[in-house]
Amino acid sequence: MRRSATALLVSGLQNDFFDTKGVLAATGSDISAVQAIVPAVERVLGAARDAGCLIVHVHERTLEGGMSDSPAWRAQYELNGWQDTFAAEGTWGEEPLDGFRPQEDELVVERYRPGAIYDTRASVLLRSAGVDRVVVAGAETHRTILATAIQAACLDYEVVVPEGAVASADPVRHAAAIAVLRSWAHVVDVDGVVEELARLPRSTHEILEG
Amino acid sequence: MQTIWGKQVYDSVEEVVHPEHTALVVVDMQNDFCHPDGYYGKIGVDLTDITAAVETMARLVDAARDAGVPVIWIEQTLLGDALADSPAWLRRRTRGTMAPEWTLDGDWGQAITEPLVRREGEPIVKKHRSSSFIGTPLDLILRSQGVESCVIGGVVTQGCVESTARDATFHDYYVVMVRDTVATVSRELHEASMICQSTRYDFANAAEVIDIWARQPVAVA
Repeated sequence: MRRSATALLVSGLQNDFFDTKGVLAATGSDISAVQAIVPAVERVLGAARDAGCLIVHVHERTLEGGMSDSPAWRAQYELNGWQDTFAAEGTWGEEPLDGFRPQEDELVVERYRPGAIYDTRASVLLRSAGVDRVVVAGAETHRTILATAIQAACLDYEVVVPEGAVASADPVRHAAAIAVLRSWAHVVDVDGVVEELARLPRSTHEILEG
Repeated sequence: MQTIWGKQVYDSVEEVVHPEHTALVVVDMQNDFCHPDGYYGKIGVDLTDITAAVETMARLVDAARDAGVPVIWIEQTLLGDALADSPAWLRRRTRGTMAPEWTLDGDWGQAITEPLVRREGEPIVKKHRSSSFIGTPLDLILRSQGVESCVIGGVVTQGCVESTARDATFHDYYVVMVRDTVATVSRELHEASMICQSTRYDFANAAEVIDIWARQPVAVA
């Protein structure tokens, strides 16, 4: 009765991380490496849609009035030298990047820390859809991608990372995170992921309907 | 304060619900469960007790705001195409007379019921199961405020309220259940659930909590 299904988690495709007017660029980071993955993420997203995978748009969010900020979390801002709040609720920076608006039958999961799984509704939704494998794409590699991959792996999901569809502004951190990710996930090039998605037996939607 | 096995533990209800470390968690007071035109109203549930609980909750919410106690609104949420329902959860939800068409995300039936009105900045936590802690950021939001105690009320007693209160204790929060802000579809079920819960955490009436909060306003920095 139990059948496997794959979900694509697209994390952080929001103005604050991908637009030159966003908060990441405002920290002084050169975000060209982040912006460069957009076509690859679009390719993976298209392939996952064609394969009927569950699509989950994972959006960072900071609640108004510090409601999602503990002192320890705020200390991370100092550690990283961040001045402005990322993805503040209701702002332009929180909105999805053009081309990454969720479609009708796709899910949005808000996260308040880098990882998409803990303290979010992701796992309830993934289990509801019978998902046991997640493909994780987006930015930044050393923050949301690494944290999400480890959390998903620890909750018994198989994790796939399309290497060309993840990035950090800082190439050194990206490379370091990829090295660590290889011990948690299948790190595969984008062509390989797209081919594998095309080969998938069948989709989440068929499982739900069947 | 009392000392148990060398640890400092809040003793009186007054200590437990001190505004500096307490949040008010309002569970599922939504149109589909509370309003005559909502799901329960339409299938003929007697809403007398639920209506009274909502009115009492409105006073408790005002008192919380006056005392600087964060108010957190829990919303049962159904997604279209059963996107938030596993096979096991669907079987559980469709037992007996319960049909699964309530609190569809974004519908009127899912909205907080009047006279309760959420204020800007008060978090809404959408949930897809009975417990407000399963698959939600509730624990993150509470610990971000340094919350140690949850004052809990809402609907329905034996369902989402009991699940949430038990899970709050398992997440290491002190719990005070506010008796007269809790109700369900039958008085028999309500009493049975309250008896089971009464061994597990503190109970108080709204008036007692309102009185404690009025005497201990939080210092505004």
